[in-house]
Amino acid sequence: MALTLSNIPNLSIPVSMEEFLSPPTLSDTRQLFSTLGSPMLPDGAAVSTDYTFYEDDHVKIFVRTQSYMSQNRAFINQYIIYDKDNSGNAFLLNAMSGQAYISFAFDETAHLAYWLIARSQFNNYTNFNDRSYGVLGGTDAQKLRCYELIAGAQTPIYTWHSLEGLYGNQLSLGLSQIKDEYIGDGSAVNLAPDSNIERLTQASRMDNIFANIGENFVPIAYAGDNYIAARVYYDNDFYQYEELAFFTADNDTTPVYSYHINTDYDKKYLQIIYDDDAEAARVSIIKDLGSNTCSYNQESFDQTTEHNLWLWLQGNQDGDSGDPYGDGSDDDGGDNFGLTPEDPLPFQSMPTASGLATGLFTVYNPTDTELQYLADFLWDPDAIGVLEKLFTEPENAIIAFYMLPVAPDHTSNKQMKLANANVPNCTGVKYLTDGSDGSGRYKEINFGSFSIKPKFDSYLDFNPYTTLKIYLPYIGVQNLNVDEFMCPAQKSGAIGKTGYNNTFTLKYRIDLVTGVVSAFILRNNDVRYQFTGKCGMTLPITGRNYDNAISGILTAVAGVATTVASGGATAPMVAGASATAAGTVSAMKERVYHSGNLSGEASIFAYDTPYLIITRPNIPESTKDTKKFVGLPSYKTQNTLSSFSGFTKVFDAHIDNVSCTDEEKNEILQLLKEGVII
Amino acid sequence: MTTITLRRCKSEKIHLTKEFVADADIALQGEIKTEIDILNPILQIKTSTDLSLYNYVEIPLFNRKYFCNCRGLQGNMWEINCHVDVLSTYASEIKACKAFVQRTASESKTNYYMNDGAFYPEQRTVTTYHTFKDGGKITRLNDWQYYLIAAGK
Repeated sequence: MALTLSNIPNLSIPVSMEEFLSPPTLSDTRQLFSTLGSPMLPDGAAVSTDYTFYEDDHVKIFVRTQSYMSQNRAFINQYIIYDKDNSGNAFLLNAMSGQAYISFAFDETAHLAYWLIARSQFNNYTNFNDRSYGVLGGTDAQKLRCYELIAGAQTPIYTWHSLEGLYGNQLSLGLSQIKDEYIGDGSAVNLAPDSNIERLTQASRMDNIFANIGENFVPIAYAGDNYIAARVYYDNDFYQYEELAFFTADNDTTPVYSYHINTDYDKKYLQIIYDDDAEAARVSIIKDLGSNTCSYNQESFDQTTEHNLWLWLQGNQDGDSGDPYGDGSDDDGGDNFGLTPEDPLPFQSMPTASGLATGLFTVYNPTDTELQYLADFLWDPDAIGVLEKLFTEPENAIIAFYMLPVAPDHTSNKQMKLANANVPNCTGVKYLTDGSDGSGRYKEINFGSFSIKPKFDSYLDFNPYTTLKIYLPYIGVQNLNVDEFMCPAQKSGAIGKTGYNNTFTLKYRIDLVTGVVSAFILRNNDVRYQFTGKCGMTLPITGRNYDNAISGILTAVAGVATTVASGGATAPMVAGASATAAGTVSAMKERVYHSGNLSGEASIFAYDTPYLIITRPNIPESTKDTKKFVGLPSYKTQNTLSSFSGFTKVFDAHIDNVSCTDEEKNEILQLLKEGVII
Repeated sequence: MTTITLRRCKSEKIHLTKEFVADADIALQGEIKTEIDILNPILQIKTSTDLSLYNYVEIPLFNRKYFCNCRGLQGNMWEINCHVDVLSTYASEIKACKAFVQRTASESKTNYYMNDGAFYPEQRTVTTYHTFKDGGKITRLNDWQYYLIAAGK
């Protein structure tokens, strides 16, 4: 139970907080607690070097006192537990002699609160006017937490989600790129393989990062280039931090891992969890216990810090939004990953309106045998007579008869009827019913996830050099934007180094009554693509029914592209335009359709599982060596030429601080533009 | 008295730092007697040393380094036509300059995503096909079922 203001004793609260900024002297503390006798420790309490709040009217405070119990007067660490007394008006410690009271002084404007030990004069505990106060310290975070407790702040109920990975520019993350459905409940995580962890070693870079964020806002900073630093602890205002690294793996990028900077065996791992509803986020330090699992040790943040961290994850922190053109302090400008927030497009739940419960129609799922019985019934003269009484055209009793490539999820069994006439020998025929989670009319199929990794880690991985298509059963081949699937990739690295995963999921939803198929491509449960087709195959029962089937075939065939191949056969060759050579090659290639319309009656022959079609360019083996002769694209502006090596070519340069003639300067600039070797 | 050093340079003109043939430098002393262009000086030197292999000269008096062509004249006279090597002469200052660099061989300064035709793909492409798997299993839509919709309950 949280402490409320009404529980705070109405003691004389000082007006000014300044007089309580200094901690009590040791002699004060000694005098106070020397009469308290043995401290009360809860069973099994772990040794703590910090102050701790309980939310149930108990307050545990660490006090370092000097013991009088031995001649040596050794310092001992004690725990003092304070309980609320029966009147609810004070925290009273039962002591052998004398009594001490805990009181809270708070500042609503600053949202700070201090706890104070009010000790009475010995044997005069009723004289409230004769007290002295001492502040037992506490960090700002603890003071904030204290205020939240006494102000009756409600602790939200969290639903934590863990981050998949961290991308983006310095100090700014796009939440949509890091969220996924994986929920980290903090129970256990698998250790990262050592070979996949890289280290960040530039301490000066960390200093620069921390200089750019408010020190009291969030205890972590994002370093850019997928490194992150976390402030794990501080001591006397000297902030220390862990140098962390991004965990790159082939198939898993769930947490961010780190090494302790000083020891090889003391590994710690960083995990960030968030709750959008509570608008809170936390940094968790996972400590290696030496086995294959880790314990989850959440950092204790106050709600304000949790909210600030969540804001920081949104990329909305003041002064933290980054600059798509670069902030001028380094060469990371132009990286928009994480800078542009977007809105979620959540994958909607299955529709529940189906009509199955109306009784106006029934959707049977009969077997071959049951259909044979139906056929016998239909051609029975007695049966036809019954149907004629109810329908002017008996075939109207059967609304539709078709096949689908999937079985229904929710069925029950009953006597098959046609217009209230029982079909003989069909007493337990399956029919569609609404399931507990929605309509049984619809079926959802999850084909699984996929990710496209860059092969070249360069512009060759993107349009138009690399193309991406997807074959969808009963829909056909559709084009996808490979740029969307390939991002984000690592900014630097040797040619061929793989980048990071961007995982997409393919799901189908099928209407079992109409055969309509919708294919959804989701990214982190947000809809990115949606395509529609039809997978039903009509089966003829009557002449009219068969006509419909034929017309369905004609409709499907008409959807086939009339041009089998089209493309850039007439695309002009742009002589000498090496910058567009690759694109020209691509444009000259014929565009070939991998399939026609596979909907409707044609669906029976359609390939029955989806697949991706990826087309990539092929580059010569010697590509890596071209940098020696013509260099590789740089487009950097912030560095001096001394930071470059090898062949270097500039767009332009400022030939400053070179004491030479104008003619020489012009020649220097001309040579730099043609390319020099540094 | 002015000292010049003739050297045999092995490096391309575009190198900021030149390399030279070891133990081949020749130091010559003399006096400048006429007007001279410090950016493109023409020197006439009398020496019995064969200067035909020398292509580089350093003239400390001018604080510059030069490319040169040595032409033999009559009577052990050589004419050395020089042109200032601005890259080597001002190498340290040039390295301290800032520039908008277009191309570089430094991989750490490379932006592989800038499309300026750095890579030359072949005409042939590679097409690959990838199925979807859910838990390692391929899902197929091949469980064909009959469906019959009848009027009424």
